Amino acid sequence: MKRCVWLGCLALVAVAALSGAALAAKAPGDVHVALVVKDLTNRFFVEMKWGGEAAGKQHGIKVTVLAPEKYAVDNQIRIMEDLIQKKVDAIVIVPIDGAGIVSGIERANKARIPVFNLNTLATGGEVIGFAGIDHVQLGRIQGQWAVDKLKGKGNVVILEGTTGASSAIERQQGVTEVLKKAPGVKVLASTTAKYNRQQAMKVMEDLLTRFPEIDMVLCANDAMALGAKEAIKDARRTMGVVGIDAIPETLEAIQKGEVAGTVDSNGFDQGFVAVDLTAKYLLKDQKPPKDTLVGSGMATVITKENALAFEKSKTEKFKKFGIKVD
Amino acid sequence: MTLSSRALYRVAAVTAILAAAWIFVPRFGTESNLINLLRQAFLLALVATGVSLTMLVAGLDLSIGAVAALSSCLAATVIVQGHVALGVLVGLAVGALGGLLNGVMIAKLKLPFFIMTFSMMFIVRGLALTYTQGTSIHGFPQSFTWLGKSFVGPVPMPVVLGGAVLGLLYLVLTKTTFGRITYAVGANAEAARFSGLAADRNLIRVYALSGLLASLSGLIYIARLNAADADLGMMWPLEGIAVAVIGGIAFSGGEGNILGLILGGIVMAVVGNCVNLLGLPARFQDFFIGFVIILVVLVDHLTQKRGKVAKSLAVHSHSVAKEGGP
Amino acid sequence: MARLVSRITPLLSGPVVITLVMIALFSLLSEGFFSPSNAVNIIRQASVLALVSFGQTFVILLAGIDLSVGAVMGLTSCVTAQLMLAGHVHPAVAALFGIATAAVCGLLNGMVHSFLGLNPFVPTFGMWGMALGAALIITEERVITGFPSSLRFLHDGEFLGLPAPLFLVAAVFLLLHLFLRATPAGVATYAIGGNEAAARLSGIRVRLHKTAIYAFSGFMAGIAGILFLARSNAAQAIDTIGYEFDSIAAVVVGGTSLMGGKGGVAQTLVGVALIATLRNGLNMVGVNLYLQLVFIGLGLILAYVSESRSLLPFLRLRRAKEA
Repeated sequence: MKRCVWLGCLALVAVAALSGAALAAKAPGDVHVALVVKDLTNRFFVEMKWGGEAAGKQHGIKVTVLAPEKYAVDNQIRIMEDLIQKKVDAIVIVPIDGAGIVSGIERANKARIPVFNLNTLATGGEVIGFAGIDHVQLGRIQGQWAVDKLKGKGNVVILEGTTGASSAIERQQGVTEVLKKAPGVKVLASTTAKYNRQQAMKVMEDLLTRFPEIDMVLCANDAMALGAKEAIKDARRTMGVVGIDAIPETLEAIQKGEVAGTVDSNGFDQGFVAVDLTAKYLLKDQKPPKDTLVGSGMATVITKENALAFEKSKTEKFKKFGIKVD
Repeated sequence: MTLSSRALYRVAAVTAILAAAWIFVPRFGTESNLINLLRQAFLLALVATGVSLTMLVAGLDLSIGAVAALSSCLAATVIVQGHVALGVLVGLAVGALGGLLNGVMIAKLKLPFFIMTFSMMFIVRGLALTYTQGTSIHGFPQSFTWLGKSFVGPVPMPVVLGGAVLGLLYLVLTKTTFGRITYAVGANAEAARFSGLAADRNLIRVYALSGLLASLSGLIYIARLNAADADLGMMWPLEGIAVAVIGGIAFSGGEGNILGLILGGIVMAVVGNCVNLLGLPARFQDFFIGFVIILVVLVDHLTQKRGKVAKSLAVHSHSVAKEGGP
Repeated sequence: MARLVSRITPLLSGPVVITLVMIALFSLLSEGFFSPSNAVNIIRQASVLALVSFGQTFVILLAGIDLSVGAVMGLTSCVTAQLMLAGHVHPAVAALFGIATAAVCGLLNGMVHSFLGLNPFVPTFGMWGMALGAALIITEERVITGFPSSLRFLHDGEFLGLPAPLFLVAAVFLLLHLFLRATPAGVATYAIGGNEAAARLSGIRVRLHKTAIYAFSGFMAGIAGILFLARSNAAQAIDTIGYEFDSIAAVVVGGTSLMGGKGGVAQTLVGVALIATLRNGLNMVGVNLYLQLVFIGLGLILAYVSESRSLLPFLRLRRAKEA
């Protein structure tokens, strides 16, 4: 019995010592910012992650990047709740759904943890600022290039993003806005392929069956563009395929001539700006502007002419921040 | 091969569906569309083969999608470097290994199939995502992509491969001891074991086969897509079950003709194809599939009522008195 | 001391021990895990799963299964959302309607299974597809947002510093636990799951009972759907997909047998606690997102094995259905 008591006391001391050590390890001034994105299997968000981490390194703060394992705003709320428990110093959030994330933001507000809103606008809760790219503008750039390339006349199909996603809605808005002003360009069909490569391939296959004459395919993201181009290649048809996001695989495909163009949505800068502004807020008490517009890395569609140059400039940029690109 | 009344009803129903689609859906009957349809049907049937085997033994393999993803990502890494045959071997080996693990845990350690394959799904998917870190592996040599893209005459390769696999499985299930034991174990595992039929070894083989078939399907899919992503096969368990059920494989085990998967694949492919060709929003697809499944099984049941009741009584009289109570 | 130990030990089933070990481990590895506010956090995160798993428990006790709950939850949230926003219906009425819809789905499942004799996998799987499809059609695949704060209170509110969902879950749990242990209908549920033929012979109206249980599972999915709606403040048809498998896992890991006749909501509560603790703990420790999946899978297997060790001699008799 006595041995039991001794062992018990020893265990208690051990636990106390360990937790004490853990607590003591947190040096004063160690600032921890969490960046919560939508989905880390998407190259766009991986670059956003790099941007955030680069900004963190510049300021000497700790940045962790998280994403839900399931693409649902409910899971993002759970991540935010857990971050609140971990007592992070600030959260940068890219909401999967602008309204759905509100209760997560409000909970952070109650815990007095500052929240910075990135990329997709949250419709409620208090945030210290917003930064993002104008998805509508991305859509416009894509649409305008298509109209110019077709010289105002031709058949077009549109592959939209996940129904209901704000980026998808906005990009679609931009594209249709421009196309409407070109009466000679006919939109044969506009349907969703859920931002997914495989889905896009299947949908494109059936679109090719439906319409024997298509001149251009406008895709709301690169994954769908890459899926669509495979279907087109297999069917031995030719048409222009344009995407958005400018991921490396697309740039390669552009140089090979399989994809006509893409638009840069500049994930890196978005992540960088957001964490940078947040860090300045935490360390220097500088209140961020209410809205910061992050520009596209390139204001035009990236095509065969400039793809290589663009890719090089991006690699240079990453190297500058010490990021190794595979 | 004698066609049971069940099979006849199915063939008749599928023919009716095809005829209706031909009449009412524009461009359904074009040569290119029918070829696409056939390809899609056999791709789906392939996905369902492994699951069907496990259903025959009154089990279920929920991990097929994840196993396909991991094995194809690993295989892709090798294939991109030019070693196609090695890559394919790696992929198949990983799949078989995963299935083997499932089988051993289920048969020898008596884990319920649900828990084992469900957990495997998490583990394997997590491994696949960790391995790729969300990037895709792309750019396969033609010596690999022919698996998904080439033709034998007018017939797409996936149809040839799928047909071969299904034909082989049919022979194995009807003409070999393994096949006979599989059906016996499914119908009544207790009786099978007591009559010394090496049920455990059979179970292990069935699950190993399921894993192998999953990885084979994965390889054909990535050959067609010309890219491997870790999120391959997310919906496979459910799609596979749907194809199996429509094709006549019963959840309760012990009954169903593997060739029915072709019919199941056709039905699923037709629904998707028609939704696209009619320009219907994708959401109608899920509803129709659910409806079709219930319809199919209802018809099945009503045309076989007597047989089923007798069987269910037999199974229940075998169940030994269990511990009741909370 | 000895008497206290002997009273506690039977409660320490495998999953309970595993949960306790996890709590200890996570507390050591992560500051902030072992705190009252995190406990409240976990309870809130687990409440939706708990509610839907209670319904699943009943179905599994019958040696059945309900694959439709995830989709039915989604349908409920979408129906309720649309009624509130497009139909300007009062939230409480909309919620009742949504729950009723869920119960009807469950009822259909039950009827097809009990009266037509189809294996429960089939109608519930078909219902999965139809409920998902219906939800997608109702919402036109969009996300619906902007609900009155009275709804959100269900999830975000607090009484005496404890989260509102805790009271809901506790009340439901107590009711169901008493039902299963102390009422003839509850005992009948175990009887049917244990040996359906014998139960029928002993006068239990098996088909009616089973249908009612499936309807109940739908009902619980409806309630879980409302709580989910309150939590995420958004209704999207596909958000709840996955809960069907999660609930089955929670039930089985907690100790209820897939063969029927053994287990209960108390065990399920443990299963839910285990899964919620695991998820939260992995987040708190900061395990890489993808590795988290691996750990969750391993955790589930471990939890099940820990629970079934004692049942090993009995497992040989159950092989017939479990393979």
